[in-house]
Amino acid sequence: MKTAAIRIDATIIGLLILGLGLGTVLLGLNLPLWLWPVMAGLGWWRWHLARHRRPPPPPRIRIAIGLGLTAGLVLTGNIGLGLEAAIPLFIGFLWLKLLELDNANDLLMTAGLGSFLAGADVLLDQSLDQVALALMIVVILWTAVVMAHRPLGPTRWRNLRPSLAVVLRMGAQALPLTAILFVLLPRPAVRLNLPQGQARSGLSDHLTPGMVANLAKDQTVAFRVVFPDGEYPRPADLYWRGLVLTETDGQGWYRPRNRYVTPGYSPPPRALDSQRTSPDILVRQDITLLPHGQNWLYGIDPPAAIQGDGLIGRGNELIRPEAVTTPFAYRVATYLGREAADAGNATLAQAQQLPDTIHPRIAELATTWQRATVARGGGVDAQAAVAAAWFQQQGFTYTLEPGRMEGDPVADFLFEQRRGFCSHYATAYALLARLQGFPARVIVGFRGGEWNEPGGFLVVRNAHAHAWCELYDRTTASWRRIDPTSALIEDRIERIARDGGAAENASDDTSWFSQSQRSLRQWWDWADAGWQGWMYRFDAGFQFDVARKLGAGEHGRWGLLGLSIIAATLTLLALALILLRRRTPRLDAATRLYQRWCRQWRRQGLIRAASETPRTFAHRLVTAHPDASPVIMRVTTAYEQVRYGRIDGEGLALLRAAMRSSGPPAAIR
Amino acid sequence: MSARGDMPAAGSQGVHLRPDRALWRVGVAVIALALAAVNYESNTAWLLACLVGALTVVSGLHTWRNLRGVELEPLAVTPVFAGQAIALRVQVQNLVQPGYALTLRLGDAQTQIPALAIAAAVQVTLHLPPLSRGLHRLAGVECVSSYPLGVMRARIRQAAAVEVLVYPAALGRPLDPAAGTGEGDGPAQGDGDDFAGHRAWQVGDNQRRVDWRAVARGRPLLTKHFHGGVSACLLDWQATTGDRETRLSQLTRWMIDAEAQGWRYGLRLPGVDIPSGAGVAHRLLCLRTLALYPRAETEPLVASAETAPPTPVGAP
Repeated sequence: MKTAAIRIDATIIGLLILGLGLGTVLLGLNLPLWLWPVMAGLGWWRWHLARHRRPPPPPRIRIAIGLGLTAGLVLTGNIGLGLEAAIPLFIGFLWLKLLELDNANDLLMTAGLGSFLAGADVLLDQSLDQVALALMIVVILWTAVVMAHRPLGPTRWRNLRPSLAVVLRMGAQALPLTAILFVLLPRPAVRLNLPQGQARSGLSDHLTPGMVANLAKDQTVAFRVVFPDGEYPRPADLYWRGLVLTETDGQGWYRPRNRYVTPGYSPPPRALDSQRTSPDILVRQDITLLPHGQNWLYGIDPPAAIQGDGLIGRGNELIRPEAVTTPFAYRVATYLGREAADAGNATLAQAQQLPDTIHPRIAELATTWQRATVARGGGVDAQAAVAAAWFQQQGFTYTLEPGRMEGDPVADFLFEQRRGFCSHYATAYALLARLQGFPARVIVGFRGGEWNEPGGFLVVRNAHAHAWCELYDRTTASWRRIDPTSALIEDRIERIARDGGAAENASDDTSWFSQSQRSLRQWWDWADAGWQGWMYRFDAGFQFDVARKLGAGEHGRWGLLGLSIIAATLTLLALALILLRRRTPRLDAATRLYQRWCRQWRRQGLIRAASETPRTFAHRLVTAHPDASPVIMRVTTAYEQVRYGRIDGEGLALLRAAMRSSGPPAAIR
Repeated sequence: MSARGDMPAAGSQGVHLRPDRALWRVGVAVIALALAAVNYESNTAWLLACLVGALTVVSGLHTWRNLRGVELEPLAVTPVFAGQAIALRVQVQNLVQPGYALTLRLGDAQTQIPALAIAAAVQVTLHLPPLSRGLHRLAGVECVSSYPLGVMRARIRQAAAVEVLVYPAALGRPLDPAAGTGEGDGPAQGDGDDFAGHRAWQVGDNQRRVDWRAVARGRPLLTKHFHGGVSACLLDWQATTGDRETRLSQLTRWMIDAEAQGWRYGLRLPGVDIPSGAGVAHRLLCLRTLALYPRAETEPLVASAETAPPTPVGAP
């Protein structure tokens, strides 16, 4: 059978480009750079052809482009097994498909694959932002499909609006069925064992001076925290401890290789609820960590216990055996003000390891510091005071864009640039402390957070990433947190906590616009949290619970399948009854107008018989009122034109104009 | 399934809905997305797959609704000569709601109706391929649409038939000018050489006899009237050669020639004898006789179309 004739014009191509473009941008962060101009070129070419009503290029050109695309991806090593490795090829061919789009089948194919693209966007990131964008893509693509089936509207908006309305209406009507399929349809048991996704943002497992800065502008949510006791730590206490870095080569800091829990060493995960011995300082946190593809967790420093699938590892690091690839919920308890008492000999030895080469000026500075520290009493407090005094005296400043450090980056930072941000300060400080003889380590995590008023939770974003140090206090046999960045600028601790210039400005801005913007973002965060929590909680177990409640629990997957088929059929039937209920033939606007006009004649005793056509009625009217004949004929002709000729609004306007100009004839009135 | 009709026209059936063949193009994408969602344990992607799947299913109801209230009424078809394309006019009206992307079809012939406003009626023409001589029944005009998404296809079918009479093709030698005989039956037709005067124009009058010069002067349409001899001829089966259809085509050719020359003519075929005559009614009688003349000698000779065995055309 021939495919139905549809209309493919520049507007429709433009919508498709918009939808596919959005999907590509959302997904395509890892696409090879050269693919972008290729895709843009293919899109522009097709749009250009459509605008000039020209057909797509012949098959040989399309085949050549396809071969070139494949060869390019193979040569640049962008093709591999697995879903993510196949994505460049998939996206490339999707845009090639757009170039050859010429009939209804191509259009459907493009819309279908484009919907797949939208779905691929939410495979790894299930946040509400992504979902909203994916839905937008689906709506745009299917609007283009509906539009292709409809005649061209008189204006661009009236061209677009009806199709958009159809898609939105159908989408709304599809919601009950969607819900049934989602809740009841058993997920296929096939696991293709495709490689799981990599983390796209968040902290990595090491720190070099200058890292973290790229995160400072990343406003994506890292995790959310609910404080179940209703007691909140002070902002100054919000150090979200993550990685513990103890190995250094003088510049970078790394996790120790054998960092996992050894039996008998880790404090056992105790039942947290029985632990409220001193309620003043115990803070419990229910954290929902969004997938970051790594196996460490965060909690307020110093974590005392963890509940859920987590462990407390060496160095009081919160870890999990598996990488976090789906939102992960756990509970952490922290005794604020208490110092972590983890200090096996191995840990202490690790925390004193020094790099092979040390810049002479750094060594010299360490000696100076050590002399001053001893003069002040020799403890960790004395060391911290000396360091803070030195940083202030030397005029160090905080900036997210310190520029490149030359030569030995630490020395360059300390003695030349004197400007930097948390990772510069933390790495330099830890190195100096170790040179002084203090066991020291670098901690990477987050600092601060944003309180979400509507949701009653704290949002910690990637922009809150922070790095600080821990020094071992031999007198109390515990680790002490030293944040050289905040020591530097004590009065601006809140802003430093955000570690970002953008946030710094925002907090000063109290204008109505930025206020409402912030409250909007809070509401959105709240909705996102609810959504992700719900999405995460829904799993096979929940599905079987529903099935059990509906009485099909004992039949397992087949029970679910049967249930979903029955429910889907019933839903469809109900929808069909609503949509297809009997309707009396409706009168169009033109007929209504005409009938109103006829009623005006009725008062004159001239009644249109059911069998009378407008024209015969008009003849009768003209015979009765020859003086009104131009009026009668104008209305009748306009009505006939609308009714049997033109179908657009233009004819209707003509009829209205004819009636307005004539009105009920004055002679008769 | 069939929708309850809103005042269905005689012979029209309900809306039939089935998946369009193009559905797989969307189906593959949805299934791929569902599998990926399972693999990545992404509830959101699974939800999106469910949504797109549900959207295509629900679009079927809209496809159905798009055709509801559409009525097809094939109109009478003007007889044609064999070899000529047949223009079947169909009145399409729409009672319940606007219809979009409608395709009207019969057999391989199809016509698009991009949109049909509510309570509107249009007449569209289906150009059917030529048919052989005889009486044919055209039945099974269909209206199909896959609006709005193109993944489902709705169809309504009009079972009522219209008949189309196909005359033999006018082929063969031209009519011999000498075949006409000088003596006519009378002045009734006024086809002589001597101008006798004017009379008011009537439907069926030969246009060549209209006094155009008078019209140009602003007078009404007048037909020139002549006295004198009228040529007449007898178109005889015996004078033709070849097989049955060739002979009928030859007779048709002659008939048209005779008509063009303004002659009176009669028709004689085995078993049929139409006396000499002229005018529209005579012409139609002759053409009808030629069209319905049996295809084989064994077939019974029928006098009128009503009892002729019609040949159905169109989708079975």
